[in-house]
Parts: sequence; C-alpha cells; structure tokens
Amino acid sequence: MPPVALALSLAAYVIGIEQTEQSRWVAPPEQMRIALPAELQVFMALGDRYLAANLEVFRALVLSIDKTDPVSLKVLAEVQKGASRLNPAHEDNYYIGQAILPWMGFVEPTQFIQSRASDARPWDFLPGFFHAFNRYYFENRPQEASNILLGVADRLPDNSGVLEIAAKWQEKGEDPHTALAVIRSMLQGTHDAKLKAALQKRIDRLEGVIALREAATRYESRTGRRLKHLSELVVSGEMKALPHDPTGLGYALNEQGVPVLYFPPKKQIGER
Amino acid sequence: MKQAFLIALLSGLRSRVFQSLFAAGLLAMGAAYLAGGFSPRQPGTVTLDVGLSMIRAVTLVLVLYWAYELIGKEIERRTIYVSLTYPVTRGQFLLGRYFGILALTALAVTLLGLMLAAVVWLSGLTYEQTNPLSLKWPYVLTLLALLLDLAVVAGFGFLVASVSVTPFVPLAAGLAFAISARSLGPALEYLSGMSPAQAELQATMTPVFEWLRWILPDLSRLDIRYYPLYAYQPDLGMLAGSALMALGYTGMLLALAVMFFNRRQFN
Repeated sequence: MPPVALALSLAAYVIGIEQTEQSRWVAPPEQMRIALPAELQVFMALGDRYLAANLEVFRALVLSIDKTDPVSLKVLAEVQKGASRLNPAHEDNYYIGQAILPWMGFVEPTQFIQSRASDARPWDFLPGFFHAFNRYYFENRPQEASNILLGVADRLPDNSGVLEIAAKWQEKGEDPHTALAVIRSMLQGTHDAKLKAALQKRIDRLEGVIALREAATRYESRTGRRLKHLSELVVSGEMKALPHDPTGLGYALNEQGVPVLYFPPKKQIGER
Repeated sequence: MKQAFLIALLSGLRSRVFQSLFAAGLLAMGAAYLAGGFSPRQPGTVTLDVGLSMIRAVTLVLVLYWAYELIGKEIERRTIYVSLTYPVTRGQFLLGRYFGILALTALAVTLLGLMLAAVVWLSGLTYEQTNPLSLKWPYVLTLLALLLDLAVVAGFGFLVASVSVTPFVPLAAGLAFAISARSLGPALEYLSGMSPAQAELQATMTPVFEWLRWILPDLSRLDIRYYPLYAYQPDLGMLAGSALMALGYTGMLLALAVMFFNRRQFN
C-alpha cells in the first residue's frame, strides 16, 4: 500500500509542477494601495514600534519611490507619515520623503515628516534645512523659511553660509536653480540606485522648467509679449520641442506667464 | 533557593537551547545586516535597529520557553514531585527557578548583543554614515533595559504557570501579555493624538486605556534604543520611573505566583 501511495503522490507532484509551468503566474504591477494605521503596525510587529517603522520605510523603498502615479504617491505619503509617527528620528524616512514627495505636490506630508525629524534629531541640520527649504520653495513663504533655517543654523560647526542662504531666499523668491542645487546635493548623499534614479527624474523635471523659463525670457524680449501658452515657445521657434518631464506631471504657466512646475489639483490627488 | 537557581541555570546551559540560540542569532543578525543594506543613508543605524528588534523577539520567545520548560513541563511530567521533596519552601523553589531563568536570559542577551555589535561593525565598513552610532554605554544600557522588560515577561509567565494546568498556556498568555504591554505606549500616543473627527472614539477609548494603564505596565518605555541609535539621551527621571515600575510589577507578579503556587494541590 505505501508504495502505491508514494507513486500516486509522486505523480501528483510531477503533474502539479507541469501545470504550474504551463500557466505561469503573472505578477500584478507593484503598487502601494494600502496604508495601514501606524499603531496597528506596532501590534503586528510584536509591539515593536521601531521594527514597524523600519518595515514601513523598507516598503516605501522597495515599492514606490520610483512610482509617479498619484494613488501610489498618496499611499507613500501616508506610509511615510506613519513611519514618522512611529520613529520620527528615522534618517532614511525623512531623506526619502524629501527626495520624492514635495516635487510631486505632497508638501504637507513632507513638512510633517521634516519638522518631526528636526525635533527628534536635535544635532542634525538636514531635516531642519529641508523643512525651511520647502517653506521657501514650495510654500512660498521666504520670511518663515529664513526663520526656520536660522533656528537650526547652530547645528552646523560653521554656519556662516546659512545666513547667506537665508538672505538670498528672502531676496529672490521661488528659484528653480536653488531647488536644483538642493536635489543635486541629495543625489550625492546617497548610494541607493533606486533613490538616485528617482532623484534624477526630479532633476530632469527642474532642468525642464529652467529651460522653459530661459526660452520664455527670450520670447518676451523678442516679441514684447507675455507667454499665454507653453506651445507658443515651439511655434515661435524658441524651442524645438517642449522639454519632457519624466515624472509625467509636466509644466504650466503661472498668472504672470512664467513657466512653473505643474502639480495636479489637490482634490484630484486626494490630499486632505 | 540557591539549589533551584543552580538547577535552572545548569539545565538551561546543558540543554541544546544555546546552540539553537547561536544558530537563531546568526540568522537574525544576517537578516539585520541585509536590512541595513536597504538603507540609502544609515546602514549601520538600520542594522542596529533591526538587530535590536530581532534580539527582542528572540529573547521574548526564549524567556517564555524557559518558563515553560522549567515550571510548566515539570508539572506536566510530574517531576515536580521530586523537585518539591528538596528541603526548600515552594516559594524558594519558584524564586530560585525564576532567577535561574533570568541569569540564562542575561547570558542570551549578552551573546546576541555581542553578535549584533560585530554585525554593526561589519556594516559600517562599506559606508561611512554622517551620524555615528554608540556601541558603548548607551548600547549596554539599552540591553539592560531589555533585560528588565524580559524580567517582567518572565514574571508573568511564572504567574500563569503557577496556576495553569495546561503547560503551553504560559507561553501563549506570556506572548499576548508582552505584545500588549509593548504596544501600550504607541496606543496611548495614538489616542491622545486623534483628530477632532475621531472625538467620539477618543472619548470611548480614553477611560478604557486610563484603566488599562494601571493593569498593564507600559513596556515600550523600556525600549530606549534611540540612545545608541541617535545619541538621544533618555530622560533620567523617565528611566528611573520605568525601572521602578518594572521592578514593582515583577515583584507583584512573583508574590502572587508564590501565593498561588503555595496553595496549589498536585494530584
């Protein structure tokens, strides 16, 4: 009897393998669709909040830093906010947050993460700097940005340059060159290939807006007219083609006819 | 009591648990090292962080296993009759075994702690991070606080074992207790930080947790790994209060365990 059972089992096993070979399982496109409440994660991590925070950051790193669709990004923002609630001092969490989120319109979650990281890491200049930079560049409040920056300046051994930056921000207003400098230095500060690729996309996006602004300035000085539509730059021959934004969001014109980064309306991306 | 202590210690050392622990430790530390590889900015910190999580999980299971092995199993196999014929009181027997397990746990924490320190040192070789870790006193203090956490859990395991008729109950109840007590801090934080939209839930849950706070010790307070990880010094008052809370709670658990064990009838 046992040899028969063995033979039958072996046959079932072989047929099973054959069958799985034939109908190959196709992995669905990886997307982050769910953000569980951070506190539930603690329970699932055997009551270990640091482990729960690490798992959330790994999830963010593996699944979604290269995604550009609004749903994945919204979940990423929630996951990263959750990680920040569990362990606000997590260095990767604030760094990834800054690298990915504000450039795609998620400024509020980024600021939540940065201000908590800045408080939890009283020796670390970087989260305070990011907090200030976002206030200056994305929220367009240079005075407050300078104050935040000056508040964390003493975390650097030599802070003479910080005062200079604070003054420059007040004077210049929103400037993509400043943003480009920040994101380029972030690129140098990491060895992670995936994060580097995501940062490179944001660099290309910023270089696109800089090219558009240069072309718009030339257009204005040549024709004496303000730009009404980005396509006029191509029609008039200032540019051969509009720059490609690898994040897929693209560019727009502000009320003054100046090219800016386009962010989807908040309701559309479901931000609170 | 000394005899019961030595029996617990020696039987723990003689069993193959330490070989298994070494193997589990190697696996856990390997996982911590790989987890560090995920980190774009702070591989050493993540290795230490995940490694500490591993140590907490492994030693939690271990301490409850020993509570089962040295009390529950003796009752199950009825060898407890022999153990109780020694000229010691039941209380001395129980406390001796408890401190024996605590000594074994201290050894296990030391062994795993040393392995983790080595792995963190290894992970630091490939990438020099901006914020250096502290593997000296802050690390030792973190492991000591973990030992205190485990002492509470072991106390709970003993209390359950002293009344339980099923040997595996202390293991399951101990796990549930430890996870709940370790999650209490984040749960309280969550409750206090709820948005106005959740005011109703907050109003219902707050009295429950206010009550629970006195029944369960907040073991998350004894997780002070932010000290070696981020050089963020814990508040001394908080640390002293948490240690006192843990010692007081363990004292109550053991006193109750001895009381129940004294009255227990072994048929």
